[in-house]
Amino acid sequence: MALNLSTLTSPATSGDVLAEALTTADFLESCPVLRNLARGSNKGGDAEQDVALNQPKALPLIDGDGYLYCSGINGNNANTPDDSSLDITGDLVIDVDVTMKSWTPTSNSSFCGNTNQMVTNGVLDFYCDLIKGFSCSLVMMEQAQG
Amino acid sequence: MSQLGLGLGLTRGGGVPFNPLSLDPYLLFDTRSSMIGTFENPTLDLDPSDPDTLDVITATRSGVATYTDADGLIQSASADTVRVDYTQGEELTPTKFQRIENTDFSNWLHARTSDTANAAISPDGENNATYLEQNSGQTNAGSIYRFDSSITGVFTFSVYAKKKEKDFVVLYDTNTGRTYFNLDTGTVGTIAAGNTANIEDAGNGWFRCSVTFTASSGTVKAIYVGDTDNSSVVTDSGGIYIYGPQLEEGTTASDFVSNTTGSPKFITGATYGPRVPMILVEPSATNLIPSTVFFSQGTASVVSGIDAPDGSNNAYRVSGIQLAAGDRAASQTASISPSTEYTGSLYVRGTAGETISVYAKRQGGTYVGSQFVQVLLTGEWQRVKDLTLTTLADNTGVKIFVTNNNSTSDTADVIDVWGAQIETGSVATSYIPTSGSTVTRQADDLQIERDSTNLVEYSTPDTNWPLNGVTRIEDFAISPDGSQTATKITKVGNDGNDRTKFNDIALVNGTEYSASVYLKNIDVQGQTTLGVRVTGGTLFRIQINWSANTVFNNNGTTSDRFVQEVGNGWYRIGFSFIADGTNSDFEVDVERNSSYGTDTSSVLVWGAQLEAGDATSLIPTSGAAASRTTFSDFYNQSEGTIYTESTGRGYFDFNTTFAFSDNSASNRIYARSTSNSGGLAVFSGGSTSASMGGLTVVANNVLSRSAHSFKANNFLSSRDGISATPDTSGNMPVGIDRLYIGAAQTGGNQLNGHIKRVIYWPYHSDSL
Repeated sequence: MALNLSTLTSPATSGDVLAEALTTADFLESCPVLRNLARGSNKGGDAEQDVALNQPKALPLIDGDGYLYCSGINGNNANTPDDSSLDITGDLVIDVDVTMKSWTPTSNSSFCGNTNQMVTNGVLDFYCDLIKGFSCSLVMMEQAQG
Repeated sequence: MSQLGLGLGLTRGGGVPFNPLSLDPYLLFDTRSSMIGTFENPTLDLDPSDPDTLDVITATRSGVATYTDADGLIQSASADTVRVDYTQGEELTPTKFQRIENTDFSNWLHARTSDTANAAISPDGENNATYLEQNSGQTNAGSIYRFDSSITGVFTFSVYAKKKEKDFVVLYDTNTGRTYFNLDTGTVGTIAAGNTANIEDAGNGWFRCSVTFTASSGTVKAIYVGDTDNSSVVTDSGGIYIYGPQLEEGTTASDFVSNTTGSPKFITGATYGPRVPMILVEPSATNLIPSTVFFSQGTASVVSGIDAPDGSNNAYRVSGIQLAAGDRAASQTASISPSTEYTGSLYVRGTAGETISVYAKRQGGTYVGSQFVQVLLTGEWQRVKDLTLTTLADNTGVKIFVTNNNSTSDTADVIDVWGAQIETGSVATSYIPTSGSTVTRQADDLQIERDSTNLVEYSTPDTNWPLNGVTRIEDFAISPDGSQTATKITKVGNDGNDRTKFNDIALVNGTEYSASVYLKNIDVQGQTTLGVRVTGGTLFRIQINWSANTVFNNNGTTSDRFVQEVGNGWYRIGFSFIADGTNSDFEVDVERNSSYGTDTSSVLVWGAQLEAGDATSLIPTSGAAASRTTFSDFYNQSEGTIYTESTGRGYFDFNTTFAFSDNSASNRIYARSTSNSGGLAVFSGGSTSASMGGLTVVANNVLSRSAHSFKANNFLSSRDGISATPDTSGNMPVGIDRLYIGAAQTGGNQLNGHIKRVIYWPYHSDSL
């Protein structure tokens, strides 16, 4: 996508262009941010993508729902800021709506996970993966606390 | 039992819709509405209509300044605040005059027609309609017509018409041609090119016919008779009834206004949309008129105690203006310098539709004066500007005059006046109140500051600040942020080292640091000091002399010393130094003047800060060093796009709309006021990377939209739909750490105008 600056500044079109900025990502547009919709006193930050290229893309039209498209390239994901409220201190329900391009991936694909920022990058509290060979795996790591 | 997932539409219990927000979650993502693309993700959006968005701005301005609030009242803004000025909203309908000088058709001219007055019952129920009849022997359609005075803009010409022997009435303008109306069917026929037309049933066989067109000069307006559509051939007899011709500004035929004065007649003033909040950025200016007092001239009279635009009763009423021509009232005299340009401004209010003239002229010496500005009064307060003149070598003063100008036939007999202002230059800036002497409004400095860290772990003295020869009372008084958190430090005994301090602040040897603190004197007679004592190195210290509230170096080599009055008796003082060690103490001494060594004087202390680099605004701390990352939170050093909506007031001091910079001219990205043709300019390492021009110069006080996009070898600039030629070579600047809003790279060259919106994306437009 490329924004035409003349369209942005033209009095005839500027309002419509700026109104677009209040919407969400278009189909297959890169999503550098997942907006946190929480609004209460406990509200945390947005989930931001810190990889400049090959970012997750928006698929807002599948089955009437929206999906975040992750291409499978290493680092292509969205993550939330670290916060103590994400520490796992009790029972936990993890619920992920996901559709896979292939349910028989050639390498492991991770649906979600909780990483520990205090130790070596990549050590997880837990992760939920689709393992190559068509099986799901949920792994809990006892030693980590995010 | 309930579940929380990324998908909405979950239910709880017996199917009651479940709203995850009711759980006050820390995170809630929904892939339909959480997915934000690059364009939907500006990292900075300054929108004065949403005041919270302006919280990231650090405003620095000594002393108060004025702005217009949402109700149109002039208000005072405290020091160090962003001024959100509510400017006049969009004009919805124009000021309207009945431009037909004689609506009874007296003094109109005839072409192949004759008319009979009072020939029929008109739409107003009176027997005052005119019968317009084609002359015998003439088969070229005849008309009744008149000449306009010079008019320009969009106008609507209308007339009531009723068929008699003929079926058509034709409205004619010399420049745009004829528009036909069928009075038998009540329909619009052929419309002159570029016009719009309308016909409305007015009852009893009458129709109101109107055409709207763009007038480019004074022309003929004529009403023709007609037999068929789009034809000027008619039978040589018969005619139509006509009534109520009206020529008015705008696109709507408003209610008919009778006029037999022989001159245009005021109908109504313009209407406007809601006032528009915009950030006001101005340079320093001085109102040279010492007070708002007004004096009568000649036989006019002046009384005080009139309600003013600022809500006070400090306005004056001038009456008896029509008793004589010429000057009728005047302001106080502004003392001026010779051979200097000045501009005047004045608020006036009078009866809607009447006019008055205002101008400025010299006092003493050879005559020089501004233009006469004739004001069409609206019934509301209006500010008269553009009273500009350049004084001559023997002039000593300038006054503003209200005058009954013979040449323009002013009509007002009574007007109210307030807020006279004379200032240097050609631009009237916001009103600067005076009450007995001249007053200077300081310049606005609005920036999103560089990142910084306050190394003083407790920014207000408390139990963590050891005492020496002083006592301490916490939360003793109101601090500069309005909270009851200022600490009182009182000298006891006669120790010259009467201080409180915060110890053991780590420094990097050879690095520049800045120390600052807020102080309010209670009863110190001499001076209070602020120091940083480097362990094994230098004691860097400055002092504020309370007799004049000025700062001086006290010890060591200090630079960039400053004192800033922040209101309510508080001052912020500070300085910079080069550390010559790796550990330091931050010290405030109550009274360094040894001649007052045994007193018990006190000072209020708040907001201590020690930071690397130049001094920035306070970063409060309470137990640990704290950082501000406002700038790096939104800025991308590699690429970006910025969009602004702003107005200018001329281009004369390199007026600038925004500037990203490293606080030098070497590395910066900026754009000048839209009063200038320049677009984006970029400097990297002291060299020009891009300097784009050729954009449309926008008239003063007219809102303009600009956008600029930048990354290495790809610089773009656009204004109001017109783009400059792209610049495809050049480096991005390095070390950009701050954004000046309405100013240039070090805070000067203020825009002297308004900013309605600033949006920044951390991406080049190629990626938006």
